[in-house]
Amino acid sequence: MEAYQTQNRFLNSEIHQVTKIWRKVAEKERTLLMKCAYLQAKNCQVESKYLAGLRRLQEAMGNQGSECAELLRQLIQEALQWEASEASADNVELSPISEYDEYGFQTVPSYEVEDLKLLAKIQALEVHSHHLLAHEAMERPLRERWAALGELAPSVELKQLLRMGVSREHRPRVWRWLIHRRVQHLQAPGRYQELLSRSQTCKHPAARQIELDLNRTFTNNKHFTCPTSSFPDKLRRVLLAFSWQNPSIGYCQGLNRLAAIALLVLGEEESAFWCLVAIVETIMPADYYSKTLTASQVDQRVLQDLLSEKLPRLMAHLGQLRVDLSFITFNWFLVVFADSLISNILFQVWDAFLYEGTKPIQGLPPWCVCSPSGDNLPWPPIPFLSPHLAPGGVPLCPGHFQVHRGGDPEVTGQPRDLPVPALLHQDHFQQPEADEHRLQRHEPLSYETAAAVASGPPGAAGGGAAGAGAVQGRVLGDSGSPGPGGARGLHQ
Amino acid sequence: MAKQYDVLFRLLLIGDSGVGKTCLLCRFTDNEFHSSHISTIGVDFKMKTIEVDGIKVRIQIWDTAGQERYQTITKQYYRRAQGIFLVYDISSERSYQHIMKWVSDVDEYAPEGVQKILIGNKADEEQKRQVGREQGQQLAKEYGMDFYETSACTNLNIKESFTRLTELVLQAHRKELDGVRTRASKELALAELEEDESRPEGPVNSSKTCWC
Repeated sequence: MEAYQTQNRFLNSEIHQVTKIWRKVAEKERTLLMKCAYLQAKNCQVESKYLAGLRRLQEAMGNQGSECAELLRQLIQEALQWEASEASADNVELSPISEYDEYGFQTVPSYEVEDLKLLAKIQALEVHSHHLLAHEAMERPLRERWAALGELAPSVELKQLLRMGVSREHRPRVWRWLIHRRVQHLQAPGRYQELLSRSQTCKHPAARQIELDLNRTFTNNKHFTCPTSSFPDKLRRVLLAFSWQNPSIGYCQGLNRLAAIALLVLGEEESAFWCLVAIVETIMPADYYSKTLTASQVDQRVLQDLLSEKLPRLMAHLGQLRVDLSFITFNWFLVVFADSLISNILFQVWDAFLYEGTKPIQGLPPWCVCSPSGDNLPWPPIPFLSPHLAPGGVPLCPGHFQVHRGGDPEVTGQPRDLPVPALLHQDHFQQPEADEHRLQRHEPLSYETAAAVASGPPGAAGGGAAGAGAVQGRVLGDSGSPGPGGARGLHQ
Repeated sequence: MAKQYDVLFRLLLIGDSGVGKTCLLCRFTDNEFHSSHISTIGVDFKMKTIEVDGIKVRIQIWDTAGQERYQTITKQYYRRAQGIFLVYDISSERSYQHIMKWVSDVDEYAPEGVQKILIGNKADEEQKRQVGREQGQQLAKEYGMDFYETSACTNLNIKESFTRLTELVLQAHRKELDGVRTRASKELALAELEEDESRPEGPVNSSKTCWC
C-alpha cells in the first residue's frame, strides 16, 4: 500500500514536472511564433518596398530599351515568382500568403497585365504584413474584452468592439444577434420556408435576372466559383425568397453581393436571408433598391457635392480627366462596399454597419479617395484595392487607390489606360486645406457639414435624379439613433 | 511631355443583362477573357488609345448595367456619348427582340448624329444560336447601322467592331478634326465640344488637357 502511495506521489510529481516543462515549451513556442510573425511581417514590408522600388525604377526608365531595362524586367519576373519558389524551399509552414483568404476570396487578383500583377502583389504583401502585426498585437486584449462582455447587449463597449472587428470565430454568432435585433418584428416562424415555397410555385419576374447573376457573384471567391459548391444554390433560394418578401423591390442587381457576404459569414441560408432583409428594409433608406433607385441616385449627388466642397482639387482633377465620379462610387453604398474593400476590412466594416447602421460607412468615401499617407493607421496603408472585382475590372483595380509616396506628380507612370490612379497622388495633399487634413486623418464628417453641403443649391450636375433636392432634405435631415424602424437616412 | 492623343471621345455599350458587354470591353482593352465577370452595377468604364487614319484616338468606353432599373441611371450618360454599341446575344432571342427598345431609348436620349453599331455577341456558341446572322443584318439595315457578329471568347471581330465605330465617329466629326493634324500640339476633346454646358464640376482649367 505504502509502496503504491510513494509511487503515486512520485508519478504525480513527475506529471507536475512534465506539465511545467510543457508549459515552458509552449510559452517558448508562442514567443518564437510571435517573433516569426513579426519577422515575416517585416519581410513582407521589405519585399513590398522592394517591389514598389522596382516599379518606380521601371517607370523612371520608361521605354528605353537598354540592358538595364532588360535586367529590371527579369528582376520583376523573379519577384513575381518568388512565392512559388519560397514555398518549395521552406518545409516549415509559416503563414504564407495563401491563394485564398479565410472567407474564400482570392488574395492576389489574377491580372494578366504585368504592371497590375506587381501592384496586386505589393498590396497583398502590405495587407499580409499588417495582418500579421495586428494579429499579434491585438488578439489577446481583444479576446479578453470579448470574454468580459459576456451576453450580447447594446453597450458602448460592444460598439467599440464591433468597430475593431469581430474575430472570425465570434462573427457568425454576433451577426445573428445583430440581425435578429433588427428584424425581430418581421420574423415570424416558418416565414422563410413559406416564401421559399411561394417562390417555387409562382415565379417572380425577377427570377430570370437572379439566375443570370448567380454565376456572376464574387467571381474571385472560391465558394462561388467552385462547381461543386452549394453556395450558388443557397444564394438562389435566398434571393428568390427575398423577391417575395419584398415584391416591390423584387431583385436589384447588387443584392446578390449583399446576400453572398451574409452567406459567407453565416453559412446557412435562412440567416443570410434575414441579414438581407435587415439591410434592405431596416438599415438602408427606403427606395435604395427600388425600381427607380431614387435614394441611391440622391446619395451620389450628395457625395459629389460633399467631395466637391471637401476635396476640390481632386474633383477638378477628375473633371480634367473627364471621369465621372459616379462610375467609381455608385456601388459603394449600394452594395455596402462589397466590391470595393478587401475582405478583412470589408467584414470589419460590416460588423459596425450591422450594429450602428449607415453611420460607419458614411465616413468611408473620403477615406477611399484620399488614401492615407501615414503608416500608423488602424488599417492597411493601401486600403481600398479590391480583389473582389473581376480580374481586369477597372474601377478598383490596384492602381486606383494606390498611394504614391513622393515623386513627380505630373508623370505618374500609371498604366496608360488607367487614368484614375493619378488622382490619388500625394501631391494632391501636399498643402492640404484644413478639411483635407481632417479627411486624411479619417475623422468622419460632421452632420452639420454634410447638411450644409446638401442644403446648398443642387449643382448643375449631369442628369441627376429628378427632385433630388427635395429628397436630399429628407435623407440628410434624418437623425436619431440607429435601430429597427429608427433613423434610416444615409446621412443621419 | 509628348502628346498622348489627338482626340478623345466616349463610346457606350448597351444591351440586355448578360449579353456580354463587359466581356467585349475586357477583350478589347486588355485582351482578356473570363467566362464569368461580376455583374456590372451602374456604369463602369475603361480607356484605350488607338490610331485610326494617323489620328491618335483616346476612347473612354462606358460599360453599363443591363438590368432595367439601372436604365434610369445609364440613360443619363447617353447624351454624352459619341458612339453607341447596341449588343445582343445570338443565343438569346429575347435580347435580340429588345434591341428595338434600346434603339428607341437611344433615339430619345442620345444626341443627334450619335453613331451606332449593332453587335451580335457570343458568336462562338453556334449550337445555342437562336438568332440567325441574317436577322442581325436585317435589323442593322433597318436602322442604318453597321453590324458585326462578335465573340469575346474567341476574339472574333472585337478589334474590328471597335475600330469601325471609332472610324464612324471620326467621320461624323470630320469638320472639328480637320484642324487636328495641323495643330499638332493641341488635342481635341470631342467629348468636351459636344457635351455639357452643364458639367457636374465647375469650370475646368482648359489650358491643361493632357493628364496621361
